[in-house]
Amino acid sequence: MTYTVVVINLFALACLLWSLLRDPARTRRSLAISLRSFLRVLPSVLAIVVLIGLLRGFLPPELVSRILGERSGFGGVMVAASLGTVLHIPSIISFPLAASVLEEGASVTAVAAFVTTLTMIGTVTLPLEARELGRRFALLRNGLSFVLAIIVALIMGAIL
Amino acid sequence: MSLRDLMLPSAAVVLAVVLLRAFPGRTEVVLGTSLRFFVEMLLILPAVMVLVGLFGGWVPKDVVARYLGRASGLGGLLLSFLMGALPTGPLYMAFPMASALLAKGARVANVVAFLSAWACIKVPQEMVELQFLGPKFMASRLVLTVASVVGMGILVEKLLRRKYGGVRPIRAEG
Repeated sequence: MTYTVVVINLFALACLLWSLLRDPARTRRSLAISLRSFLRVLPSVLAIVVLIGLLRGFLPPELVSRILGERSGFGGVMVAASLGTVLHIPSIISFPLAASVLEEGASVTAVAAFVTTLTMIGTVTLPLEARELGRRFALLRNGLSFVLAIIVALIMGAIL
Repeated sequence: MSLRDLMLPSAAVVLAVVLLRAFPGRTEVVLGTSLRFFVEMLLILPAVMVLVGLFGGWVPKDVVARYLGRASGLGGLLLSFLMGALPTGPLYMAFPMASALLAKGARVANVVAFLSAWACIKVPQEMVELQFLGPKFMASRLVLTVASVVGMGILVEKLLRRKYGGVRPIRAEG
């Protein structure tokens, strides 16, 4: 965990130094984009962090593992995949949520299914996708994504 | 930050205050967990955002479309994939680009790969996944999603071609 933090921060620092040496004005513009992006996700980060705390305090682990744990079988995977399909959570904050549910007893398969459908399938953006690319294209891409997410999740459950 | 952005965290805090007033015994667990996840997030988020900003500052917006226009074959499929994975903004921004690509005669498989990569394997997203779910989880999910998305692209292309003998985007541009 800490290893990841060090590597990513060093990498970002190296890129930042490179950019500063090459073009300070452009770097300033880039950092303005960084700050905007950071402020944009910050409210969701705060919300998800509080929510994760509440889930830990009030959702009994037995319930989590009954619905999404190893014993929940294929039903649990389907529940997780459906939640990921319907919910509209920014993917960056979905990972801490997924990690917390995993700690509480959900299976790797369920968590992988949730994260994969959440990112691949866009129910909220589906109308837009259909308008731009055609209804058949949009339905095929999103429908197949659901099936593939479940296959990906089952393989991950088997190998991890 | 607009007022609307603050509604979600405020609602979460209000809910937390109400629940913890009613069950003070849970306070330690709830606050401890929240703090731990918040710190983990803060350790990584600024670095990820610096990278997103640098990318936005250094790579012109039209470069992605320009490269994809002439992509073909397996190399084209891979290129579509890489282009989609670059840190470039939300999915709805990708639809008009995908539509323009189809209109210009790009392969359906490439466009599906591009869209799906854009949706699910963004570079900043992978970094956060690495941090919270670990290298094994992140790497195996990445490899499996890449394989599925490429397969799905080819499948969607076959299915659409069989039905129509070609694909015509509804709102063609360019």
